[in-house]
Amino acid sequence: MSSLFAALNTVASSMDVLQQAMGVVQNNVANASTPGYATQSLNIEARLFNPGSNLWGGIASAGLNDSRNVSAEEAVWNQNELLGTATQSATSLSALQSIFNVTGTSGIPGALSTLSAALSAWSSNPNDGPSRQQVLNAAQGLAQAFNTTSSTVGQLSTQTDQELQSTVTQINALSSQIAQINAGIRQGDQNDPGLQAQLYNDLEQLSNLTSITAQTESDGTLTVTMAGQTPLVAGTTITNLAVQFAPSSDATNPDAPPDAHIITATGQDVTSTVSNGQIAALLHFRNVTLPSLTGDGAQQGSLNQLAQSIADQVNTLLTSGQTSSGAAGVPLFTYNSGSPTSIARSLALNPAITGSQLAAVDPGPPAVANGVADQLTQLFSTQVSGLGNMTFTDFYSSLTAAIGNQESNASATQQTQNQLLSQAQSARSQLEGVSLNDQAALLLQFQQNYEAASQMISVINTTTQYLMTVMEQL
Amino acid sequence: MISGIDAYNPGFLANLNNIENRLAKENNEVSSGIRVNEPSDDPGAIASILDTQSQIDQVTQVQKNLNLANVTAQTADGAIQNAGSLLDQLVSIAAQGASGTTNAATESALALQVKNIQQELVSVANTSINGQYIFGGDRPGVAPYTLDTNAPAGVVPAPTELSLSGNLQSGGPSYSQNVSVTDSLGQSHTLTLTLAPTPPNTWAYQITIPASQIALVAATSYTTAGSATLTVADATGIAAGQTVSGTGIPAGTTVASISGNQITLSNNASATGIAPLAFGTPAADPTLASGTLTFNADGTLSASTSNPVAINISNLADGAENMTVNWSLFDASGNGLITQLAQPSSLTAQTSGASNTAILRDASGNSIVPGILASQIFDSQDGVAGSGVFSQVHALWQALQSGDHSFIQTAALNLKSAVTQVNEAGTNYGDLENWISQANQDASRRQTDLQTNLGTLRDADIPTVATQLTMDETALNAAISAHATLSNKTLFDYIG
Repeated sequence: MSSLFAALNTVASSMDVLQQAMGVVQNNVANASTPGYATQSLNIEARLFNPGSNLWGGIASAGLNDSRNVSAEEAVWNQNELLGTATQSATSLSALQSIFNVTGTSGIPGALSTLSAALSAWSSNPNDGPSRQQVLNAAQGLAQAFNTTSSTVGQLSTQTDQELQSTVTQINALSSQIAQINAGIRQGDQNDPGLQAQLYNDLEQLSNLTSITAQTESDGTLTVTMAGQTPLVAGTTITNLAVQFAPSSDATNPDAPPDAHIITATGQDVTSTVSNGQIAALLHFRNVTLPSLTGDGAQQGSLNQLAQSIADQVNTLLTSGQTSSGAAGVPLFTYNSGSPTSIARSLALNPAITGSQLAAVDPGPPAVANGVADQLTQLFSTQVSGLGNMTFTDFYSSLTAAIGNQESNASATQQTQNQLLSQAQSARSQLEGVSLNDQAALLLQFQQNYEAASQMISVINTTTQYLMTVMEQL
Repeated sequence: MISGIDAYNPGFLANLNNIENRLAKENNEVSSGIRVNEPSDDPGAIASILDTQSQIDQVTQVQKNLNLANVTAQTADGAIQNAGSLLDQLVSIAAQGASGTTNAATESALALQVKNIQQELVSVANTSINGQYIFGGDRPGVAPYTLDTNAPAGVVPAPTELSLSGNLQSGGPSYSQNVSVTDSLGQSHTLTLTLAPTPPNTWAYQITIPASQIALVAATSYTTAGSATLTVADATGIAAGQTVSGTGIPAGTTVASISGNQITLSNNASATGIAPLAFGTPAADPTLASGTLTFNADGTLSASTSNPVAINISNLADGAENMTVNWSLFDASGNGLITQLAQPSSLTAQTSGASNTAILRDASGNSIVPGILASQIFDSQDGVAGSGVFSQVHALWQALQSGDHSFIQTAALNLKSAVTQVNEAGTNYGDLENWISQANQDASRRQTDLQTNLGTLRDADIPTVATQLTMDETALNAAISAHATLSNKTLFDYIG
């Protein structure tokens, strides 16, 4: 009789374990679409069975088994970092390249052609008032084209500053969330799959913003570092990042726009350690790509270089000439010569010049009545030593092509990275993801076990009642 | 993370995204017809595209310039043909006058016709388009000739314009004085005179130009037999002792004295002669201006005349370029030259108006100086006084007025050389029109080549892109359809 009760107890405890197992399945199915969630399973082990020693076997729960695979997670982060870099680069460069016209009919190349044509027309009719006015109008148009281009690049720089600020804010917010999760882990929730899902979801988001490495500590918390050097989260302590703008240490162009720097809360400049992720692409765009056009402490910037070269070449020719009445020529363009990095922005038509002051005459000898006007026309197809022996148009083409190349490469990398990330995510999903078919099969299995156990109880119950009846009749 | 339903879902979406990006680009190419819409479309082709577009714009402007030059050339050609017709009429008139059958009234009537035709010839020489005199050379805003029957050739050519440049400087502490020079066109030129004297001190200045640069032809009236007096338009630069030659002037005659614009010769004229007269080189460099400059104790400078000093220069020899103007300073008591200005001691002056230097370029960069000056058509081309077209016509008019048949016959004979001169000028414009026509053809060819090249570089290959577009649309639809047919059911759908 006692053995029957022992069997009843064993079956009942087994049913309890099966209930837990079905609870795990239920939780898996419920979290099948939860970002960061890894499939859980209940470890079930057999209990000792030796009826002679009154050990009646059965099953017992041995805790949850987490399918989380750190290597698969790291593989996803690595690809996500590179995708973050490529996506941000493609976005920024796409906006930048739209500023540069490649049809030759508008923007700087269009204005160059218009001025060249106006000079050619003036050359063929140097004393014609409307032709002179066309030259002034075209010069003003070219100056405005440079002003607009430079100003638009400046707006992109400001926008990039805001995006950098926003990205740093996101990194700080994610660091803070991870620190809170670490606090929960310390309070004993180390194996909570919900917490873990939040944690790894945050890490995946973080990896798109910057390159990260994560180390699990003995207390179960995660230490997260940026580029393996700058700790972002250690236990419940976070290192907030900030964006600072500081002039370049190179004093060649002291009034140049300042560079963007990433600074830790302790004041450490970690800009040079940032290698991947959205923030790295923003920094490169802000500190390298844009300054190559509009200058920084160490360089004038190709747009300023081109604007100055055009203004200087045109002015030199005009001031070497004379008007038809013998007056010395005056410059066509003005710019702020004290600020080499703002020449494209300050380029303007000389406000003091009038059409009759345009000096078409080359005094020679021999004197040529339209000599200067003719040389100015030829200037636009002449290789200029200050521009690497390129014509004005070729120099513009080279800087535009450089941007186009970067954008093209970034877009191609973005496509590749999308594929690589999806492969890494698929690989991780195979290891960690919730398979509804598997869970359904497990559920059926546990259900059958549970039904069998309940049937067992019924049989034991019937047997026990029968024995009780027999004993009453005795 | 769902696993098992569609393990490749992220990859599937990435692929769909790629196809959609391609479709967007292909749609853009088909709708715009242009393959390279932004730098990343083909960075390697940008330099060629912009360079080609730039060349197209340049050639287009060259074509406009050539067309404008062609209008001028055709107008000039027509004007010269008109001049030829007028000269033919004059030849006919001259023949009639020289026939010996005319009386004084007829000759007077013929003289009037000649005068009218000369007026028409002046109009031809002054032909203009939009206010620009096409035979004006480097000064298209100034009429090449003005009709003036009192002038030696019956016309007055556009005065020579003088421009001066350069600074007179001396080292050390200096004073500056601007001196304005006004040329014969009334245009003002400012010279900067910089000196370093010890104030207060008064200096005399004298501005001269080399005598060789003074025009040889200046007389406006013809001589009268038995008279030693004649009047010139401008006696500046003519000095006593200069030799004078011309019809009716005995050999060895010199200028005896000058009073205003009236000149007294050393001999009476032996006969009535026709202007112009020729003056020999002056014995001394003519003085253009003189006065005193006073350096005051306060460092200011004052001039005896106006400040700045205005100097009128006329009577320059035709084509006198890079003329030298000498400045000399004398002491206040007039004891002669005590100093000359430090280096440079001269200024460079340049005359214009007798030049035609503006060039016209074709699309290949070759250049030509289009057109010729009115003086090349109507003035003496051999340096012999009185051999130009206007001189010949004026001589005919004077001969007809004088009634002297020998003069009329001489004038009629000389007129033939005028016809030849004008015809040669017409040939020049014929050549110019041919050059422009050839240049236009060359420009058109280049334009076509460049447009073709640009099309190859920049334009979309529509059939290829359209085919690719269709393929990508098919691929997109196929991918979506295939994905849609995948079963979304799991084992859960079969439980219970």
